[in-house]
Amino acid sequence: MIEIEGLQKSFAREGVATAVLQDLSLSVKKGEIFGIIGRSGAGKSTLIRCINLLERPTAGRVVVDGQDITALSGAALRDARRRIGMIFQHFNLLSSRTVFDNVAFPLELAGMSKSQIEAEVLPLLDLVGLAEKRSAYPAQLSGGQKQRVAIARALASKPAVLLCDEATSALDPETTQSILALLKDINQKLDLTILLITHEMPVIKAICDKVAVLDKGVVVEQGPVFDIFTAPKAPVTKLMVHDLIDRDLPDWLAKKMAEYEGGPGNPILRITFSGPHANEPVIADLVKRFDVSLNIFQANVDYIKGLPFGIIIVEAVGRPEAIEAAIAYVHSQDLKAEVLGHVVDDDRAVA
Amino acid sequence: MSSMMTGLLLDGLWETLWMVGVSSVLAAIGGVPIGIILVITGRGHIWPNPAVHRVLGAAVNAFRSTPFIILMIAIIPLTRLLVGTSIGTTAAIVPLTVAAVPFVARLAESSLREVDPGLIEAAQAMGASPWQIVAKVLVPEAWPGIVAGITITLVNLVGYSAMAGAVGGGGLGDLGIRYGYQRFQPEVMIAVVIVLILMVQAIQSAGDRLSARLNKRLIRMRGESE
Repeated sequence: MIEIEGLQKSFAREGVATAVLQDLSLSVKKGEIFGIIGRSGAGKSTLIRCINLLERPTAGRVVVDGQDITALSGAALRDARRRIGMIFQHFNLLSSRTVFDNVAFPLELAGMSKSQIEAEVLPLLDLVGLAEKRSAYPAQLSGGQKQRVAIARALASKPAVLLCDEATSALDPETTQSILALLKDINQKLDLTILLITHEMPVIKAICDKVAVLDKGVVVEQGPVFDIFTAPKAPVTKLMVHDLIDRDLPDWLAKKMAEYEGGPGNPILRITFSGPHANEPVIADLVKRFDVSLNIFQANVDYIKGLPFGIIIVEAVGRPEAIEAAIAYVHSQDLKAEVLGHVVDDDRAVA
Repeated sequence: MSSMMTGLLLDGLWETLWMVGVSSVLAAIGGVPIGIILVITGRGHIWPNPAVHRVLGAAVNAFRSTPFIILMIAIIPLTRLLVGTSIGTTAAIVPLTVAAVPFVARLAESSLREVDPGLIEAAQAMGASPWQIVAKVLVPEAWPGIVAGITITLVNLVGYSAMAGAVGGGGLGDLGIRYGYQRFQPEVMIAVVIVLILMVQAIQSAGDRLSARLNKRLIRMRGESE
């Protein structure tokens, strides 16, 4: 649905060309929700603006729904833009127009008659749950309601794709969830392809099928959200998913591990659950089968697109052979167990 | 005050209203489009054109920096050409309009420039043409500010019209100078000043109220607007 090939964009600043996007390629399939995540300054905004040519790329091609957008200009470009909906961080509603007239705006631009417009707008207001606000002005709406109006407006011209530019970044967490639920809903109801950019991990986790990680104008990795977030390769991705998969150990534990100098000690294990076995009682099995007791220091289970993903940090107490057998068992279950370090046996009680 | 004086005051008031009214309408018709062109030809706007932007900006500045009394005399040939005479109330409309057009243009420009660039971007993303952006985004969004600017222009024109009166334009200013100053009737001068004050107050408060009502950003959350 969206094919980006060799996209480059540089801006001239005081005569010096600064590259913002460098040879970037992406492919978004029909009906997919594709997220692009990156820190501020990574080039996200420029990238999404290159798709409907609000920014004209320096080089490369953007093909949307089979049409090479980068080859267009003037009236042909305006026609193509009508098939690409867009919503913004700050909603960008016309303050002088009511909710109804804001949603009607793109239809008015396309030269539709009043009665046609009415027939198109009302179902859209129902879809976003704002039918009773049709005569309100944007100043009378909350942030979430404004974004709903913006979504209805973006859908009015029946676009093939919807671009979301940090659409939830100005909203509180609860409202963010409801807007994301609405996006997911229209994605399924209308089979609408959605490309969103964000700096917020939870947004990607909540609704995206695929994700691309953008850093300094380059896509450092891309793929299904679950794979990227549970097994990040690029340093910038690792940093982003830090909270999800690589939480810092408690200070005292890190200190104890650092103090350990080869004496007899218990291994600190990080067991990672993902995939089909994530729901099985592995910990209980270990204790029962291998005569190993586990002391849990940290545990976190998260859901990415409905799939569980968990990490447990434990101290394994038992005979070394038993512990080794236990680790082998974990691996046999398609889970991952890493030895992070050791701590001296009896120190824990003091800490 | 005698009934003759009252009659003179009413005549003067009518002449002033006529001069100010017609010239402000003409100034709005001429000035708002110039303001629009000044904005959209600016760098990075929807119709960038440095040449037009610079030439128009310079012309506006030239007219704005010429003192009204000089402008009025300097364009006498133009006034004669348009009205047939350079004396009288209708003739005064020409210099008043010429002085007010660039004034309105700059005030309109600043209101139009304040329109959130995000709105223009959103309209472009929806496939709006530059003309549609002007007609459906820029002007409606800036309209409350433009109305406020026209109000300021009206008040200024009341002042200018008194000057026009001094060179045979008629109106309240003329009345005040001829009777109040030249014939030593200070009560006429005082009456003229009071009428002018009331007029300016009325224009300003009507303009403020209209601008506020047009500004939908000021609508409160609870004040439903059915």
